Amino acid sequence: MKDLAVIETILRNRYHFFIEIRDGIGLREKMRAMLISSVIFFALYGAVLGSTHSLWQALSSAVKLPVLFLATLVVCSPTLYFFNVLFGSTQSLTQNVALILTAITVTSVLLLSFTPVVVFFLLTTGGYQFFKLLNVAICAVSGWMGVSFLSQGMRIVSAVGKEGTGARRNVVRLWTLLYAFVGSQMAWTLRPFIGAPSMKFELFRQLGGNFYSNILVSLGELLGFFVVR
Amino acid sequence: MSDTDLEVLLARIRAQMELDSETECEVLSELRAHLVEALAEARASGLDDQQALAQVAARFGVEQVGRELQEAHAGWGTADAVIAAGLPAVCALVLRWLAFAPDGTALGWPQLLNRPSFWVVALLMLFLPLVKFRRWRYAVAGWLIFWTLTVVYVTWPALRW
Repeated sequence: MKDLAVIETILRNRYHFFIEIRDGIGLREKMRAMLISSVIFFALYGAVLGSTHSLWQALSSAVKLPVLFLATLVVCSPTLYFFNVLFGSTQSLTQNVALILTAITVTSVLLLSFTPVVVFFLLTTGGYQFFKLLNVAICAVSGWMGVSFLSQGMRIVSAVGKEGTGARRNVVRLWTLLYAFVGSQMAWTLRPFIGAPSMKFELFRQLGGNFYSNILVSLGELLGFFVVR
Repeated sequence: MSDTDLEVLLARIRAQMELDSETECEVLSELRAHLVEALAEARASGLDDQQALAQVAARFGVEQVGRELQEAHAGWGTADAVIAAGLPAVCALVLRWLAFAPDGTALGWPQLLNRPSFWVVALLMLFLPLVKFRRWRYAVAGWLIFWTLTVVYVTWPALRW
């Protein structure tokens, strides 16, 4: 219940939560709670995603979705830390990771909140491209909200009036783009999460193509421009 | 002692809490009843209103009781929401994998529908949350919808898979 109490604090009293991160209060407990909750929420959402295909795909996606977000965090956090330090931040790497973990936790909570919607469409529609685009949209909205949280957190954590505050804000904006690019490429590398109905279960697919062209192809098929074979 | 004094005391306790307003209201109204009782006892022992209030505040430990109440109730609001979103999804997935082979292919529907085990599990999975998780009424409502949809699609397999 303590882990969920941390989530409640993030959602209800984010200012207080970010101030505690800024002051380094209870960082380990907070990070542990956020890590456990987000892994569980991502796993559940991943299981729902994979359930359109097979049980093996459901299990695989339940493992891969938490890995996707946590691996993206690990890859991107040093960049945020060093650029922030370069522009006068006094925060440690752990504090930066805690802030990014807050964004990831918010994303995972929002994905969990969309789970009943996704299950509804899973039970009532059969269109693979539609289901894929629906989930890309849900992930994009949830990810964007999570990153907005990070941006708010960075503003609160960066002491007002200190040197380089404006520059650090720009760093966060640019880092958000980097995070989105790394995240989408990571998702592409770890695919499939849903699993094409015409294909057998695969843990990973061969590298090739990219996330953005695949989404355009799916849009094209959904809108009736062409059929993907 | 006026109602305002009691409200001030409750406001000090409330300041220690960050619960959702529904829980906060329930907790504070219960606490109010205890405080009124304790104040009546203190006045009956011969203290005036201000002394009674001071004694009750000291006995309860205003800040401490606020923190303890926060600790006891924190997270339950989120737990309800997490269960409301997660339980129907988990139950729907379990029911789904009872009806499908692990590779995603549909089992023989006529045979499946004739199997008592399918209906026993399907009905158990419906009624168990209804009986067990009364607190989580929204989760159960969501699960009812998914249960119905799953059974409908099992009954008319031509619609899907």
